[in-house]
Amino acid sequence: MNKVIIIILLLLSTLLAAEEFDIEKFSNPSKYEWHNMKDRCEAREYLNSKQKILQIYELNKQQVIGNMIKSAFAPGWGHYSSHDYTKGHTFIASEIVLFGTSYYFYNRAMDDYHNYEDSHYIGDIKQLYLDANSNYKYSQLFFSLGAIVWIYTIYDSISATQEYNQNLWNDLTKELNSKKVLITPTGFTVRF
Amino acid sequence: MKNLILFLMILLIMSCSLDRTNPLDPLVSNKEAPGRVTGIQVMTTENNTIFITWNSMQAATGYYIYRSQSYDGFYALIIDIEKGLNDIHEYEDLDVDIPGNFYWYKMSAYIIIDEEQLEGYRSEPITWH
Repeated sequence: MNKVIIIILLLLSTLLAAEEFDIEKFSNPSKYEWHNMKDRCEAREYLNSKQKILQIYELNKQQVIGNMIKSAFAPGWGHYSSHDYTKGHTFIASEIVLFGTSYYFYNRAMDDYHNYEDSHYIGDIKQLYLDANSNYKYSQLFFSLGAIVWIYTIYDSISATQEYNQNLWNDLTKELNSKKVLITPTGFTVRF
Repeated sequence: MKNLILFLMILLIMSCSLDRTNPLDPLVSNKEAPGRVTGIQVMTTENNTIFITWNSMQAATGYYIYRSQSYDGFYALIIDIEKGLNDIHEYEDLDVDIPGNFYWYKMSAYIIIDEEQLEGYRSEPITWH
């Protein structure tokens, strides 16, 4: 019995604490500075235009993850997708130069190393091993630099994509604001 | 932080070396290559041949003799002389055309490691006076 009384009291207390929903206050148009029908229509147009921009933006924006994967697959590809051609050219050229140089030194190192393995003359054994090792280290150095640039390219594709998306949004809003005539389902607006 | 990454990168690169796999490499076999052949003398004979002598080397198993017609030209191996029990340390080059031609010689000693010949440093070019 006591339990039932406690539950009833609790229910009554929640009813007392609840504020009455004020429909007048909620639907008061002056709250949004809509003083007349024209203001309402303008606000609706504004919202529609924003929605349209958002739709175009969603269709055209670049995915950060997607561009990171592109850059991981081929350095600079993510930047090309973000229309950052200067960085794209720079990164792909750097990678070609660094990995190409690394491959060149690796080939030289292996040539010297195979000659070292086949050599019987002490002068060649000592010199060829030194040459092979030195070329191998150059190869490692350029490969490491290439790997660092590659990682940086992936990292930089994030900011490039974000910048692209920001510019896209700015362009779309600027384009919309610069339009003198706007045709919407509710009517049209002419700016002078 | 950048300096640390740079230092680690250099350390990593410097620590990466190719393995020494040539069994004749003194650092693999722990056997020193023979030194340079000393006391080389080149002379012509009355039979228009060239006679070469040198100091015998205790550690060597044999000797190589190279010949060229110019001081800094290509030296071709003309003979591999095994020292043998008789301790040979002379050679007569019959395949020459003198007078009229000039010949330069280089020599080296070798030892055998695992049935392979390890050749020591070659001597400076030498000819007859």
